[in-house]
Amino acid sequence: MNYTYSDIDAYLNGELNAEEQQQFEQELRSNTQLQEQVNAYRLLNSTVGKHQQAEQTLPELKQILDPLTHQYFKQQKAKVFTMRRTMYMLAAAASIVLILLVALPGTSPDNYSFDDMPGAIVRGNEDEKAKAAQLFNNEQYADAAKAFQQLRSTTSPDAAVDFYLGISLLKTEQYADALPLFETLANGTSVYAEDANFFTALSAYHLQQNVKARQYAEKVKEGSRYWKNAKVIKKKVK
Amino acid sequence: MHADQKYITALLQHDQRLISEIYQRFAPNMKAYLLSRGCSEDDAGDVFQEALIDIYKLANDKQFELTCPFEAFLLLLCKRKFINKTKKTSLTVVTNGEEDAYTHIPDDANAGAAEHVAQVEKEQLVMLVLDEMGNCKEVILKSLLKKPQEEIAEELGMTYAYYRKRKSNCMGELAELVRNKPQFKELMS
Repeated sequence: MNYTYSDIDAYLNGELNAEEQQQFEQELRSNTQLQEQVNAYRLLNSTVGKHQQAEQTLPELKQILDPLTHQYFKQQKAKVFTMRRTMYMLAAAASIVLILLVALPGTSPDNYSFDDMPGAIVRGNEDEKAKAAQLFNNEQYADAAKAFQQLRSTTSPDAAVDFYLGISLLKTEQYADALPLFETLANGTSVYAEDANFFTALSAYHLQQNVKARQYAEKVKEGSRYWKNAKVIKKKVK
Repeated sequence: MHADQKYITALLQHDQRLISEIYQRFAPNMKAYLLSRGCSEDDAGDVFQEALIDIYKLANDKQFELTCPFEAFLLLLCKRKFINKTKKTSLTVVTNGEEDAYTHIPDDANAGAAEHVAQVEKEQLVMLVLDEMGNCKEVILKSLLKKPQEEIAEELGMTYAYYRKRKSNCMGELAELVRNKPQFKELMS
């Protein structure tokens, strides 16, 4: 007897009556082509089901993977400005001053860079975190700080929210509020722990807590993007 | 089961601490390896992250057992993904790139890694074939949702009897298309 995929589907779903099932299984024992078809049907069902299930929870996983991939692999992309030709000279001069400020010891430790907060654009799902990230990335730090604080009071702990809240607080000179946030991150296990050493040192430095500033500045490893800034802090609190 | 199964579980459970450890332990070597082969930093990041997502999908039914070091599996998967990427673009692979970073991976790990990677690629082909099946794709995907089949038939605007017939026909069509792919001979046997 020739069996169709409808029969196979009915067999695998246990929808054949006792006699039909017995006949099907008898054929299955001797018919290698039917065996292959049943195996394929079963395997495709499980593979497609598994991948469909994974797709549903993938966005959650990507929220963890995206910042890590960025941290370990991606280059910082310079922002591109357009300017009038007459401004070039001024810009070049300003760049030289900036380079000197960053490179020379004894300059401000506040000349630090940081990445945009990931997850600012969530197509079709403009949740609160995405909105806060958008504010942060638009350099609206006071509003971003409020949005992050609101998030902290309504959602479960999130190291990314704490980190970017901390920077928003630094940018608005709320050092006393920034310090405990960064100190907790620095002593934690999140991906922000290493960078938080520098920001803890910087917050403490502004609050004139020199011992703490030095203690955390010393934890910043050579090779870190904040190593030079940390060196400046160590020099200033000596 | 290999001790590195913890990384598979970490991906499935979205365990931020252990996932960070995956990056900390394996990303620097992988980045150096891929860059030495002519890959850009951005592409290297994409290859690494896509490989982790492939592993996540493979293990999503919680049946997957890792039989080799996680790094061996990840390395082979990244290599294969990078080669596939170069085929789609004009990128040239540097053939005498950095291999020193991986001398600690035992030779016997390669067989297990190759088996896992073959499974990933076969499953990806199933999904690619399904993707090209138009209306059948919708019927198959819906049929696997965890809700009453009668409800699915209604959503698709079909009678229950017709939906059952259509579903099994679509699955049969998918099976035949997949069976005709040489890569699947082994999987189906």
